This record gives sequence, structure tokens and C-alpha cells, in this order.
Amino acid sequence: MSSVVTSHCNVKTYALVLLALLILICISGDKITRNISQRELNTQLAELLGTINSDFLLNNARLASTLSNDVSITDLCRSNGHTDKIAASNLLKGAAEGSDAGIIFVMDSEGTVILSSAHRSGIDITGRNFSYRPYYKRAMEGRSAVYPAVSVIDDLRGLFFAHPVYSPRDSARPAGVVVVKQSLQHLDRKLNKLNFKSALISPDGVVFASNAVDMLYKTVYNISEKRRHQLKQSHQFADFPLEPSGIIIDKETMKIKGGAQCLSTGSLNLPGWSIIACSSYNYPFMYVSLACLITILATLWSFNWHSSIIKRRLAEAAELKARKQAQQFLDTAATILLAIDPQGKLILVNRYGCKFLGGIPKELIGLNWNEKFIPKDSSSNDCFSIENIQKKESGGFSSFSQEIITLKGEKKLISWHASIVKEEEEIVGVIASGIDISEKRRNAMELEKAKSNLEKSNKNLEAILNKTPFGVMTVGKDNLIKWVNNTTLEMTGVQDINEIIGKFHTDFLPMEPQSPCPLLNYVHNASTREQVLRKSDGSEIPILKTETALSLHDENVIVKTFIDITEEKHLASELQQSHKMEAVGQLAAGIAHEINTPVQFVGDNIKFLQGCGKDFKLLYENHLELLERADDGKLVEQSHIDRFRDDLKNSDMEYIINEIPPAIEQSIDGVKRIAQIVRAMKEFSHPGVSGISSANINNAIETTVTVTRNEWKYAAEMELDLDPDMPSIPCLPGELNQVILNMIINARDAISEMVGKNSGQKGSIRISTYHDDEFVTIKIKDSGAGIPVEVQQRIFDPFFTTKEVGRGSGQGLSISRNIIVVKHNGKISFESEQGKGTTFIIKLPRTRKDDGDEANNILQE
Amino acid sequence: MDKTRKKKILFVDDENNLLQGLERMLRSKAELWDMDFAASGPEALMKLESNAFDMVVSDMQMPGMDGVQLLNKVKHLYPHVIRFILSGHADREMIIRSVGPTHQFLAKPCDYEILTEAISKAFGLQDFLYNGSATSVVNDASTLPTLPELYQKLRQLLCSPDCTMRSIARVIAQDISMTAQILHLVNSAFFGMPRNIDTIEQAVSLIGVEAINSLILTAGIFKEFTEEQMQEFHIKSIYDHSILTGIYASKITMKLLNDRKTADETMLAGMIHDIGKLFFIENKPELWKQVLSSYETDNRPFHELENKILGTTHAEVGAYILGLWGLSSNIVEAVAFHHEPQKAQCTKVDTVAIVHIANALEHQFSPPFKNKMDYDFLDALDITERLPELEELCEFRS
Repeated sequence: MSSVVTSHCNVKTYALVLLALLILICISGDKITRNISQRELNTQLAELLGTINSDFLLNNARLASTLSNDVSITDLCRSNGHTDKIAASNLLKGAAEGSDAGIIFVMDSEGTVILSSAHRSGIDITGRNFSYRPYYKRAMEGRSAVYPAVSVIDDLRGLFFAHPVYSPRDSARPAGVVVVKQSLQHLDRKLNKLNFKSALISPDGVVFASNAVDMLYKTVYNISEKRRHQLKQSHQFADFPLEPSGIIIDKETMKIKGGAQCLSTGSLNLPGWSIIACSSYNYPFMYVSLACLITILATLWSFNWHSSIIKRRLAEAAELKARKQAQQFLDTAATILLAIDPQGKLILVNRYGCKFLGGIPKELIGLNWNEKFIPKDSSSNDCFSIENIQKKESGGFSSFSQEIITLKGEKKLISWHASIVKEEEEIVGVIASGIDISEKRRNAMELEKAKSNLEKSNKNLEAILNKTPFGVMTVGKDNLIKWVNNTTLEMTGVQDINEIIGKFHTDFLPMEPQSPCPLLNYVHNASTREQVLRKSDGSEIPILKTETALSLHDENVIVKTFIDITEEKHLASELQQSHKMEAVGQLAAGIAHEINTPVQFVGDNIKFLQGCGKDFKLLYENHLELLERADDGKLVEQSHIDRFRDDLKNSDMEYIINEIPPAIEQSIDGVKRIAQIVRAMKEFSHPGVSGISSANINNAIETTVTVTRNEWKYAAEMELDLDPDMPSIPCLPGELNQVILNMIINARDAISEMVGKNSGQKGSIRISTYHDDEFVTIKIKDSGAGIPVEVQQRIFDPFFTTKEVGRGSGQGLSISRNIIVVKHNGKISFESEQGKGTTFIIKLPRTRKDDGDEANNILQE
Repeated sequence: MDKTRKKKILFVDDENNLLQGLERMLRSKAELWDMDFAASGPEALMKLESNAFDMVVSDMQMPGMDGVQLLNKVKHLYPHVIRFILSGHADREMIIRSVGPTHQFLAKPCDYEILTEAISKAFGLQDFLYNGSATSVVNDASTLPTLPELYQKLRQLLCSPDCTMRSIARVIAQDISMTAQILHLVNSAFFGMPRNIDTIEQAVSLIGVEAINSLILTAGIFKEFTEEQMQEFHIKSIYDHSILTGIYASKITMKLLNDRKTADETMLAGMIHDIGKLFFIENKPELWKQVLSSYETDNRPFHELENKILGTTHAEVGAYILGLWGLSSNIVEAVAFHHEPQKAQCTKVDTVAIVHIANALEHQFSPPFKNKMDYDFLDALDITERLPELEELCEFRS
């Protein structure tokens, strides 16, 4: 051919040369064909069989068998792919690299691929099901098998060596199948080198490899229609129609349509497989010569035309090569590269793109991009439209991101660079390169979300802290305030938080100990205690404070929380006041009785005396009349005397004379009693002084006993044994009265409980006082029921009472204790014996430790 | 026993000075009353045993046996004896406790005039009613029967959170016994009140919900009518009659006198004017049945039959107990004379006249009781011609 091309102008010379060549061919034709004799064919076929048998068939069959016995594979199959796949994966990878196997994969007992070595195309076949393949079926029957098949992934032919995998526990049914795919490129190359026609024949008689392309996928056996159907179903040979080839081999005879010169068959190591070889067709010389001649003539005649065709072919070949190179180039790119025609159909996609989109080129090409890959609800479905790209195009390409959905159903976000491809000013499509940015976007979004969550929870925490009624303050070890909440601001009256931060905490909590490091105080201060908070205007409010040490950002701080207890303080003082009022109110009833009785009889006596006055007046007048008559020297008539005597008799003067002295006496006594009670009452509730004053507690006891007379007189005899040398002590007399009142009322109640109310029986209350150098002591002893052991611990608790509802508020002893212990630094204790009685012992110090300022403060609250 | 006999009073107080004072003060009354003095409950009981007394005036707070305990004993042993309390102070619990046995409460210090008037009045009532069988009717009554539905309603109300003075008063005002008892209580000197309580609502607010509560729920002075009583004595119709009489009395008062205060008073009087019937039904049911059955056959006025069979009338008995309880004399008279107004010797239209008219009108409207209007009495007061007007006023029961 090359000579034809080069000697363009010397046609005749060429013709002569050609003619000579033709003659030579015709003469030697017979000799050439005869050169490949039947014997030679047989020899060469045997040689070929040897290579093929030893080369790969055996190796790969062994490989499948070896793999199927490997522990990692058996484990994998037994657990249906749920074990650690790393060992098995490494094994497959090593096996694939160490052999010429195209791909090695493991199927579970259902025919689904659970593990696979890498496929050349980059497509992952894991999860695909090949249960329809005969090699699977056969392997599951417990036999190793080799089957021909055209790969569904890349349309390349291969021999699939399948071997059953048995779980050690169950030898009855395979747990899976190992498949080693042997690609046939190697065999094809070998066959192509041969100078005779040769073909690899499957057990079904299908030509599966051949150096004669027209033979491929044709049958050489007579196959029944049923069998042909089965073969189609197994997709072993893709969709090829499996037409009969010219060669027909049956058990007895082999013949070639039109007649073959030589034909030889040889069996492979695989059962049913064979290779046939045949020499060229042996055409009669004359036909050959004639054909040659016609050829030459035609060649000569159409030389020019030929040359243009050749040129075009060459160009096509170059283009094909370029395209292949381009494809190769595209395939090596680790980005998605694709082209879309103006109708939106995918016309090109590189290997990475295929892998990404989840299909093989054959599946992908021709798909409508928007229909197949863009989610229905997506707004970015016209990104690839020409108009859109033209609109956005800048610097030769446009960039955008698009959410796509792969064939596997995964949603991905792709960042595209796209540009329009034009051919001679006509737009032929869009090419685009894309990078998967889903992960990036997800990470970014998660980061954003985490950030906002953190901010939100920070804000929440701060909002909560700001809304609590507790002041919260954190103090660093330098004694400086680091942070306070809004409540603290409100409590201190500071407007701006910055006016507090950085100040010494003692500026606001003046009772906190001054210390080089507040953390040192923490141990001592941990308990909740009452303190004061100094406000910005210098005034102080009572607070209840507690604190905790906390480690924040590797820094130790003290968190102080405190609450305003002004109200509680106020209430406590009101409570005491109300108790006092309650006591006084209770007394009022008794006092009314105590006063009303003498008022009644004083009034009665006066009424009597008033009546006596009238009688006396009458007698006085009678007396005067008598005297007048006597003075005048008149006779006193008997009638007069009778009248005077009657008047005297009627006036019941003897009674009057007898009764007047006791009436007056009793009246004076009654008035005294009234005066005494009124005085005691005043003394009791308003002792004249409100602060600390020097007072004799004997007076307080006498006053209180008087005031409470009506309370105890029906229940008990009162006995006072008061120290005659009792010194005055600094005290709050009004408060002490209240304590003694409580003691007397309790004693009375204890006695009533003992003897029964209104029983007429009486108990006794004995109050005694004495003093020593340090204390004055009051003992109040009753003959009551005693305090049950189980409540002895609680009697000083506020609102604890054993009295029936409505009789006691449970504050008496609590308040008494407060008065004695807190306000007087004294002691109160009791001794009690069930059924015998209780003695309360109150000890008051004779001197006060402080100047009384504090007590005065307390008093004024 | 003789009406002209000197009345005997026993004063009890643990304060001797007080007893002596009383003795001296009441020296002037020595002609009318025999007075004896005891320094304690047991001593008083001893004296009661040996002497027939007409009245006991006791202190409340006394060691051993207190006033209430003493009066309860007296009530039990000597039911005809009038029982007063004269006390310097008592808490509400004590007052409620004493409502049952006590006819009247007097507060220390008590003026000569008030004390003597109260005593005289009580003796007056005793004389007015004096009749052996009748006094026992009154004095036997340990509890007052009430309408069950009202009693239950009140109990529920007192336990409910919606309990208000007004709602309590509304229920009490519909019950004869409770109305009377509340008026009794409210007249207790311990509530420190003047005697011009005109409505139950005032009384309730004065006494307080708490006291009402213990009165109704714990004092045990009320009991419900039994089912048999309800049916046999047509209790419901007595109640209906009482309520309507009260309403008519109030309306008539407004019409004739146009005085709200009197209207309130006549309303109360009308409400409780038949309280005597309840005492009979509770204590002498057989005799009362006799009265009722003879009334159906006999053509004589009801009170005449009462007098014949019982020796007294429900009007007298009611007035007696209300009088002893210290209710205002207007109400007591209105109750006493609601059948025979002429006995009251009134010269103008007053509570007695109005309650009589209201009662007669109500009977007129609702048989079986016969016409009871005293036309002579109305003529004397010159209001006979206004009768149709009043009839018209009351006809529309609203």
C-alpha cells in the first residue's frame, strides 16, 4: 500500500509492479496455504493450548479455590459482610495485584457482592446482585465453575472463576462465592499473533475469543432454542444474538461452511472448553487471479478516489486516537468532567464522573441531566441551560453550585465550572468540571450550627442567671470582681456592669474577709451566712450569701450567690411583734375579766352606798326635825316618834352600819386591784424604755404574774421565790416580760394537760430567781405533764407546737429563745420529766459584752 | 305555786366581794326577790337541792365547775329555772358552748338598771306563761329542730369555699329555729351589742362565720326534723307560712308605716311567730296532734283549743322562750299576741298589729286554717278600710 501512495505519478510502473506481484501471489498461493498443513495446525494448536492451560486458566482456578478457603473470606461470608472487612479487603487487593485477574469479588449466599477488589473503571460493584449468573448458581451447588461472560460494567469479555465459600460451621450449603474474573485481553493478544484462524469455544459452543472478529459470539454447535434462551437470560454474552458461525462442529464431524481446508480442535483444562483452529479458506487459483486482476484494475481506475478515502481514514484514525487520548486524559482527572448537549443530554462523562454519578458510561451517556440528576424540588435545575451559562459566564466559564442526586440516590452538592462549546459559531453543548463540595458544605454548616448553639446556650445561661432572684458574682483570686448578673446590678443600684467589674468584691460585700486570695477563705466561708450588701449609694441591705469555688477556663474563681433578705428580716420582726400582740390579745381577755369583776362589785358597792345616802338623808332630816323640836321646847308627839322609828326600821340601819365599812373596804380593794392590773399591763407592754436598760428581773416577773393572773389562777397555785438581793442587769425589760409570759402560759397549759381542763384540780407553778457573779438565773418550774422525749429536740423550732389547733402558734419558745440567746447573750435550757413537770432555766449575763449598739440596732429593726 | 310568791334568785360567783356587792346593791329589791349566794358551782347545786329557785345567775369562769357546766346541770335537774350568765369575759368558744343552757348573757360590769330589768322581765314572762305543763314544754327543749334541707345546705355552705356572710344569712333567714337561735346568740352581751339587730345578715356578720360554724356544726343545739315529723305535722307548710308571714309583715309595714327598721323587725317577728309550734311538735307531739285533730272537727279558734288541751298556746310558749332569750320586747309581744292582738293593748299600728294582719292574711290565702283576722282590733286602730289594699299587696306572692 505504501508504494501506491508514494509513486503518485508513475502509474504505469506501479501497474507493472502490481501485475508482477499478482502473478507471484497466484503462483505461490497454493504453496502458502499448503504451508499450514493439518499437522502443523495441530502442533501449533497444541502449543497454544499448553500456554493457555498453564498460563491463566489453572492459575485463576487455583486462586479462586485458595481464596475461598481463606479465614477472612469465610468469616466475611458467614457474617454476611458484617465483620471487619479490612483483612478480606487487603487479601483481595493483594490477590488482584499478584495475578492477572481483572477483578476479584466475594458474593454472599444471595448473590450480592459484599466485597470486591478495585475495578479498573473505578466503579464499585459492591451491593450489586449477580445471582442470575450461571457461575453463581453452579458455585452455590458446591462446585467450582468457570463461565464466560460479558461484563455489565465495561462490556469486556471475561472468564469468571467461581468457587464456593463454606462457613466452618455449615458445610451443607455454601455461605458465599469467590469470583475471580480473568479478562481475555491476554488471550486475545495471543490469538492475534497466530497465522491461522483460531477461536475459544465455550461449553455451549459460543465463540468467546477469536482472532477472526466476525466469529465472536457466534455459535459453532447446534444449540437448541431453549438453550439459546437460557443463555440470553444469563446475560453471559450481553445481548449478542449468538448466531451460527460458518463452522459447525458436532460430536462426529466438523465442517466449515463452504469448506475449510484444515480444522483442528483441542480441549482445554476446563471441562467443555475447547479451542479450534482452522487454516485459511482454500480458493481455486483462477478465482484468485481473477479477483486480483479486477482488484488491480479497480485500484488503478479509482486511484484518486482511493487516495482521498485513505486520507479521510487516516484523519479519522488520528481523530480516534486523539479522542482516545482525550478520553484517557479526562479519565485521569480527579474531578467530574462531563459534557451536555443543548437538549440537556449527557454526551460525555469521565471515569471519575461515572464513579461519582454511580453508573458506567454506557448507562450514563444519553441521560437527560435535569431529569435524572436534579432533585425534583431543586431550584437549580436550569443551571446547565445555555442561557444561564451565557448569562453567568465570565472569563470564559461560569461557576455555580448545584445540588444533584446520584443514581445511587445520594444527594451531593457540586461546585461546577462550565463553559459553552461552540463549533463554528454553533453551540454544540456545555462542558463542565465539578467538585463535590457536599462534605465541605456539611462541615461548614455543622460548624455554623455548633457555633450558634454554643452562642445560644451561652445566651440562655446568661439570661437565666440574669433572671434569677439571686445575685451572682464571680471573683478572681486577685479579689477583683470578674462578672455579676443583672440581679446584682439591681440590688446594688449600679447602672452599668462595667462599674462593678474589676472592683474589689469587698467594696460591695463589706463583711467579706480581706484576704490575699478569696479562694483561701472559701473553706471557712463555704456555709451560707447572713451578710450585708453595700449599694452604690452607700446604704446596706441584708443578704443571705453562699459561695462555691469553680474552675472556669483553667482559672479558679469564687462564685458568690446572694439573695436580698430585707423582706424576711422585716417579716421576722413583724412576726415577733405579732406574737407579742397575740400574747397581749390573749391576755386582754383574762385582764378584762380581772378588771370587770372588781368594777362590778365596786359599782355594786357604790350603788349600795348611794342607796345608803338616801336612808341617811331621811334619818338626818328626822334627826334635825327632832333637834329643832327639842330646841324650840316643843313636845315630841308620839306620832313623830313612831314615824322616826318606822323610818329607822325601814332603813335597816343596822345592816347599813354593818355593811358600809366592808363595802368601802372592798371597793378600795377592788379599785386597788384594778389600778394594779392596769399598771402591770402598762408595765408589761410598755416598760417605759425601748432600748437596753438596767432593770430588776424580779419586777418583770411580778408584773407578768399579775397580768397573767386570770390565765393561771384556775389551773395553778403560783409561788414566787425571788432573790431579795437581785441586782439589776442590763436588759430589754419588755422582751423579758414576753419570755416570762410565754413560760407561765406554757406551764399553765402543761398543768391543764396533766390534770384536765375544768377539772377543778390545780397544779403549781414556782418561779424562783437567784444570782451569782456572772449570771442572774430564773427558774420556772411547773407540775405539768412534762415534755415528751421525742419532741424535746424541737420545742425551740419556730411554729412547732403540740397544742391543739387554734391554741398556740408555736412561736412562743422560738421567740423566747431568740430573746434570751441572741438579744441577751443568755442561755435557756430545760429539765423535764414525763408526768412530773418541767423546769425552764434562764440565765442572763450580768454584764453585756458590747456597748449595746448591736442590740439597739436589732431592737430598732 | 303561787304567782304572788317572792321570786328566788341564786347568784353564783367565785369572787366573794362580788357576791357581797350584789347583795348590797340589790338590797332595795329584797321585798320582791329572795336572793341567795353561792361561791362555786357545787355549792350552788347544793342550795338548789334544798330550795326552790326561780333563777340562777352564774359567773362563767370559775375554778372547778364553770358557769356552763353548772347551768347545764341546772337545766337538766331544774328545767323551769331561768338561767342567766353574768360574766366578765368569755371567749367565743365558751359563748357557743353556753348557748344551749343559757337563756341570757349579761356582761360585767352590769348596771343595776340593766340587771334588775332583765331579771324582772324574765320573771314577768314566767308569770305570763305560768303554767306547769307549758313551762316544761319550753324547758325540756334541749335542741331546736330545723328543716333538714336548710340545715344540710348550711352545713355544706360552711364547708365550701364560696361561703360568705350573705350566703349564710340567706339560708339562716329561711329557717325558724336558726333565725331564733341566731337572734338569741346575737343578744349575748358578750358580743357587746346594742339590741337593735334588725336583720339576720347583720346578726351573722356580727357573730362571725367562725362562731356560726361552731354553733351549727359543733354546739349540737340544732337537730333536723325527722321524716315522720315532716309529714305528720306538715312542717313544710309551717315553714312556708312563716316565711310568707315575714314577707307580708315587711310589706305591710312599708305600706302603713314606711319605716325600714320596723319592717325588718316585723319580718323577723313574722318569721319566728310560730316557733312555739316547733317546741310542741318536738316535745309534746301527742298533745299537739290532739290539738290539730280537734281543730279539724271543732269550730273554736285554734288558740282556744290549745288552751284547752295544752293549757297554753304556741304563741305564749314562743314568746316566753324568745323573751327569756332577751329578744326585743316588740318581737316577743308580736309573737305572744299574734292571735289575740287586743291583749297587747296597743293604741297604734305597731309590730303586734302588723304581725297579726300578716299572719291572718297568710292563713286566709292558704287553708286549712280559718279566718283569724281580729276586725274589732283593726277597727280600734282605724285601719279596717285599708285591709283590701293590704290584701292586694300580699296576694301576689313574690
